[in-house]
Parts: sequence; C-alpha cells; structure tokens
Amino acid sequence: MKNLYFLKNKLQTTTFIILAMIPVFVDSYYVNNISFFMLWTFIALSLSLIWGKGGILSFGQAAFFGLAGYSFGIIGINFADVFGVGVWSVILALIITGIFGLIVGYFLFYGGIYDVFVGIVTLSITLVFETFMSQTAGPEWTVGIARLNGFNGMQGMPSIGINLFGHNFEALDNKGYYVILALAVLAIYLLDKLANSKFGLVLSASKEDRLRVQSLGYNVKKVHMLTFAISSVLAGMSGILYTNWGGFITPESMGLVSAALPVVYCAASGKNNFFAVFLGTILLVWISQELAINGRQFALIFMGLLLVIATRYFPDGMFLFFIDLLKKITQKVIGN
Amino acid sequence: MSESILNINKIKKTFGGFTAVKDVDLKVNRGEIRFIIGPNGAGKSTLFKLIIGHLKPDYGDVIFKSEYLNKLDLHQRIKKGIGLKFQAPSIFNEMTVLENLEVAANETNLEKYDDFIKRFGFFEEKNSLAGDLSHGKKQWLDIALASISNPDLVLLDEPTAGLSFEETKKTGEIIKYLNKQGTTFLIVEHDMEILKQIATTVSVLHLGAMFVEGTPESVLKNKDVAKIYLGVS
Repeated sequence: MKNLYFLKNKLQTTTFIILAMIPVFVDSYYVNNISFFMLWTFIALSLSLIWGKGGILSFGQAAFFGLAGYSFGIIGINFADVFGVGVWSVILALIITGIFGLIVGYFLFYGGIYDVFVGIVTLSITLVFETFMSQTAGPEWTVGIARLNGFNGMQGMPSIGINLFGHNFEALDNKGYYVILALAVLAIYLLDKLANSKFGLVLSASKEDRLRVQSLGYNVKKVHMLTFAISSVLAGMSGILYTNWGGFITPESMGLVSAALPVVYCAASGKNNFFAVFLGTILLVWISQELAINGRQFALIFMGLLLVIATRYFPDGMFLFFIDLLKKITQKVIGN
Repeated sequence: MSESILNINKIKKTFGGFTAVKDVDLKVNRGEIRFIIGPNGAGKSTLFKLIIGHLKPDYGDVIFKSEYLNKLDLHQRIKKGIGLKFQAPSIFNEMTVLENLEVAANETNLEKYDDFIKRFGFFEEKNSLAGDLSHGKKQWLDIALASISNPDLVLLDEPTAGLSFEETKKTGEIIKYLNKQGTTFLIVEHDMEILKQIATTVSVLHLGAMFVEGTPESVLKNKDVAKIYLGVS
C-alpha cells in the first residue's frame, strides 16, 4: 500500500510539473484552453468530496458555482476602485457561498434528508437559481451598480488580481493558468489531507453505515453539513475562475446540464480519488469541447452515454479500469 | 454498597395497542456483567433501543451516571461514556481493521490499538479489509469498536450470534478481560454458555416486564424462568 501511495504521489508530482511547463512550450491559445479545462476540476473535486468520500450525491454544485460567480462579479463591479478588490471579491464570494452551503447543509441533514432526496432537493435549488437569474433582464435588477442582465448574463467585472506598487497583477492568460494550477494543486493536497484525517475517516465510514458512526459518538449530521459547506466553497471556486476566465457569468451555468456534468466527470474518472477526478475532468472537458464543435447536443449525448457505461463497466473510474486492462493484457502476453 | 452506573426507571413503550416494554425498572452497578435474557418478544431489543435513544419511551427515565439521558440523541449518549454493539455486525467493510479502530477510538493511542489487535487476534489482518474477515472476527471487531474508547458501560446486543462454541468461549474471555479493566457490560443474549461463563447478574424479561433478577445460578435454577424461557413445564 505504501508503495502504491508513493507511486501515486510520483505520478501526481510528474503531472503537475508537466502542466507547469506547458505555457513555456505551448501557444497562449492552448494555454487559455487548458485553463478553461482546469477550472472545472474544482466543481468536480467538490462532488468527489461530498459524493465520493461522503456518499451524498448532490446536484447543487452548479448552484454554488453560479452563486460564487455572480457574487464575485457583483462585489468586483461595485468596489472596483477599492484596493485589492480582485482578491477580496474572491474571498468574499467564497465566504458567501460557504455560508449558503452551510445553511443548505443544515436544513438537509438536520432535517433528516438523505439518499436520493438530497439529489432532488439540491437539483431543485439549482434550477430555482437558474430560473430566478434568467428573469433579471430588466434595468430594475441591479445590485448597487452591477446589472444582473438576465439570460444574457453579467459582464464587466474586474479580474482576479492586485495592484502592487503600480504594477498590475491580473490572473489572466499565462498568469491565470498558473493561478488555476496552483489552486488545483493546493485543493488536491488539502483534500487528501482531509480525507486522511480523523474527519475524513469518519466521513468515509458514514458512507457505509451512518447509524454505526453515530453509535460511536459522532454527530454525523454535523460532519455532513460541514463537508457540504466545504464542497460548496470548492464548487464556488470553479464559478469564480470561470467568471474570471470569460469575463461573464450567465444563468445557464446553473442549469440542468451544468448540474449533471460534474456527476459525469466524477463517475467516469473515479469519484473516490481526487487526482483521478482532476485528470479525468480535464480530459472530459477537452473531449466535450472538441465534440461541441460538431454540435453541442452531440457532446451531451456522449457524456450521457459515458455516465451509463461508467456506472456499468468501470464504477471505480476509467483510469483504474484501463490500468487493470493493461495489467491483464500484459499478463496474457507474458503468459503466452 | 455498589455504585449504580445505569438506572432505568419505570420505562414503557407501546407500538399502537401493543405494549413492548411495561414499566421496567433496571439498575446496573459499576463493574457488573449484566445479562438480559428472555424468550422471543420479551422486549429485550426494545429495551436496548430505549436505552440508546433509538426509540423514545412513552414514559420513564434512562439515567446514566446520575444524568438523565432522555432528551439526548444517540451520539450524545455515547459521548457520556457508553459503548454500543448492535445485533448484526456493523463494521465498516470497505475500511481496514486498523481504520475501523481509528474511527472508533477517541484518541490516537497506538499502544491501545496494538493491545486490541493482539487481544482480539487481528494481528495478521490489521491491514485487511474488514469485509474480508470471518463472521466471528467481524463480531469481535464490532465489540472492539464498542470498547476501544474506554467507555464506562458497553451495551452488547447478541455478541455471540452465529459464533461457534470456541468462538463464543473466546468472546467470553475478551469481555471478561475488558470487564477487569473497569468496563461494565449490559448484554442482551440468547446463548446460555456465555452467560454461565461470565455473567455476574441476570435479568429476565417476559412479555415486556421484568420477570426476575438475580445471580446466574439462582436464575437458571428458577423453575418459573425455565417455564417461560425454555418452555419446560
């Protein structure tokens, strides 16, 4: 087991080094594209935590994505002249999202809502958010000076960044790429730490038997509420990075498709393994984008099929499936 | 006079028109290995669930170390110093034996883990998945989970269900060892062998009410107990 852990770390480190070197060798167009692929990993990681480790399937991650994106935009637009707004808007947006996640988590778990009902309630929250934001097109829908702009989405927010001694640092292009990569490395490191802590052990145990965990003296509802809040912050990170990347956020980011895609990323990559989810999400967003060139619906059909196939044939994720397959083929070849 | 650790005062539980537990009084003293026996439908499991808070009583009190537990949730009762094992082995199958113990322990005391691993015979399997253990070892792991955090009182619901004669005997030895370390046991059980081996006091439930209490010898010799429990006329 120790050897495998070392291998995993080695693989992780090598992957991150390769990713860090990409902007040196690759055109900025592709760097920008990979930034886009990577920013989705946070929402997938958030689901990996609550679903993969905690056994709670949430469709609410898209709502947190949107809430954080809009909050980031509203704060940024309203306080554009305040020093460090590009950093403070990120922090405040994450705090707002975390508090909302905590409140939703409280009502869910202390209300005894579990299993499939969590999915139903969280999906409803996501769709309510989308419906509400879609009807904010009129000029009366403003927060301070920030117009919500309905279905067309909010625009014009300052980027993540800071002005130091007259120098502007903005998390865009190559700098943005490194900011996203650094945040992803940090997120995976912290999530691994969390999963291997006592809290993580209790969370994993609760996936198997909630009553038994309670009978060992743990407040399972509290554990789930806190995990839900942490996962909402992670999903919010994706929303903020998405808004920063494109300079806009639309209600569509909280739609049915947006709620379902992280589930596909997680299920197909191996929802229990943060690094696999990180890699799988980059791969799947890239494939999805390539397919989208030939028609958006085609990409969605592929994702739907992938979810069905993953559930049936590789419940532990495509990477483990291919590693096992490779092992079997190697053994067969050596055996012959 | 022995100090009482658990007091059940006139507790009652009905399901619709059926009375499962009828004004039961029970006093467990510190250091005891108390067995609760009775024929099927006597109310043993209901009483067990009332003690841990899994069921709410119609009336009556559960007092542990002079503190009323009635309004507390299961995890809050456990925090007061109670260990618990349900009837069916409820361990975490997808985690290793060591991880199971880590979840249950309230401190990172590696010596304690080692002691438990040796005592319960898990040394070779400590890094194996708990789901791969034999039924007997699953039961022992479940008892280990209930007792690793040094609770004052451990409640066991049928700890020997499905065990062989030898395994039952070893279970008795483990419980006796833990009892000597200072843990009081309240055990709901059907198996008379382990009762004879380790019980200090026996309470017999019948039709939801306390029928008789006493030493194992006196209870087992009691003709009325034989009549209701063993069907001997």
